[in-house]
Amino acid sequence: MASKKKRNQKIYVIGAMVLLIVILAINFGLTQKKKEIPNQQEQTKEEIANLENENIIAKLQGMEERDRIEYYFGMFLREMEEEEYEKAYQLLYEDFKKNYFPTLDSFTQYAQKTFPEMSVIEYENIERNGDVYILWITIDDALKGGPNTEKQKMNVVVRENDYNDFEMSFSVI
Amino acid sequence: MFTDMRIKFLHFIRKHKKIVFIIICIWAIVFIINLLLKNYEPEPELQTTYTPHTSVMDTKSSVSKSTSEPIEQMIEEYVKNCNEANWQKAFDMLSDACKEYSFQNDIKEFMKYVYTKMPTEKRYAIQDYSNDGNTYIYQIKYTDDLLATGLTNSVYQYTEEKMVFKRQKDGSIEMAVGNFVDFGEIKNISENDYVKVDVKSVIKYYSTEVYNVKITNRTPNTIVFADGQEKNEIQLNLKSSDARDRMEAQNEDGIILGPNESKNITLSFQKFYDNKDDSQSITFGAIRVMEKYSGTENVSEEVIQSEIQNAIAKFSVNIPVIYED
Repeated sequence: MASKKKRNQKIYVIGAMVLLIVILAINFGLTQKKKEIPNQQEQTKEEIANLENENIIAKLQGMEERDRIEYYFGMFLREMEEEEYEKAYQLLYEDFKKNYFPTLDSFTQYAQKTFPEMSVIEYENIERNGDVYILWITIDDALKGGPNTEKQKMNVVVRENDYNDFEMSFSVI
Repeated sequence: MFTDMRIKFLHFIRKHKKIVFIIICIWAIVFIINLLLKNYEPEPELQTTYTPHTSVMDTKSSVSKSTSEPIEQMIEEYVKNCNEANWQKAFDMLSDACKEYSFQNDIKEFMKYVYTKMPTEKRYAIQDYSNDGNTYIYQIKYTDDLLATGLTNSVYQYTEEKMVFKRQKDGSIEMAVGNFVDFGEIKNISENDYVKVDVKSVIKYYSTEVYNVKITNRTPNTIVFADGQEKNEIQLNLKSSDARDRMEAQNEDGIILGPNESKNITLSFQKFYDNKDDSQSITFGAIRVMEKYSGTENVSEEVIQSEIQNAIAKFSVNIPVIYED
């Protein structure tokens, strides 16, 4: 009789433990951060920008330092290829803008005249001085350029403050 | 049946109320931890190769925050003062030894030096170079504002210097620029019937050691300490048995004393402060008391060798250069 009672108690305890584990598992599942992907139609422009920024940051986190710096200059060029001159202008260092392109118009005119519609970039060298990176690059016109055309040589200076947070300038030709 | 189950359940709860209480507590704790973890998402830190407070010479050695922060502030203030031509303020930041032995306590000497590093307004980047006890050596690179120009119509160039920071016993930090590291009084004398050699002191820069030595000729003859005719005429001996020739040897006529003459000379040797190979002594390896000395310029090799062979005496002198801080 006593042993039966003991066995029942054991069953209850084991049952309670199983129940506890189930509760913990459910609890853990519920408290995990769910990354809800909202309906595309409901997304505001800001939300889309934030999501894009998050994706870029995630991509940059997996990149080496040099690749990140080259990626930033690539972003700048892409904006210009897509004729998003204002966005490209915003990426430039304030004092550089003051020195060479005090207005968006002056920058747009320069960019249209100097940068090809579609560029081929060769990264020749990179050096770091403190938190500033100096790139030596050549730019070729992917559409009009050929093996015999003269490529433009350029320096690019980038300071990375954080992932996808940078300021840059370039040698004005 | 339902009532029966409820009675059994309540009975079970009453009977095992301690266990049930503990289980509820554990569940509550786990729930709270989960909630906290959910809200805690650490910001990923930017991964770069720029580690300004980790030594270049020994990557295992880095400067603690309590030391690196005041050092950063001192460098910032110093460069700001130099950029704004607040010479006196910048000069006052330096240690007394640096002011005295690097710039002879003359602010104009200091200004001349700063112009060689910062002829125009500069930006700077710092890098811990090496650490030795309470001494921290930083490399400072000065550049123009590269971001502001994008290197338009210019090339990437920089000037650099080593700054040395020493934590004092009272906790304060002393700063030295111009590669100056240390000054030491040696006061070691070696003398015989012919000469007296008094190694007075040493000024240690990052890559050189400059010894102040007084030499005296006690004879009525010419004495040659160095004229390039003998091997190992003057050398600095290091702990590792390595030896360094003096740097002036290529640029001067020699160290020659006329009868009963005394001279104060400086002997410079290339030696990096952080090479962990301390200087031990200076050897004057070929001192010659000459019966006749015609010099070495426009003199035939035959005459030079003949005069050396006829020297009254030829000997070497070794003087320790270890000093206490």
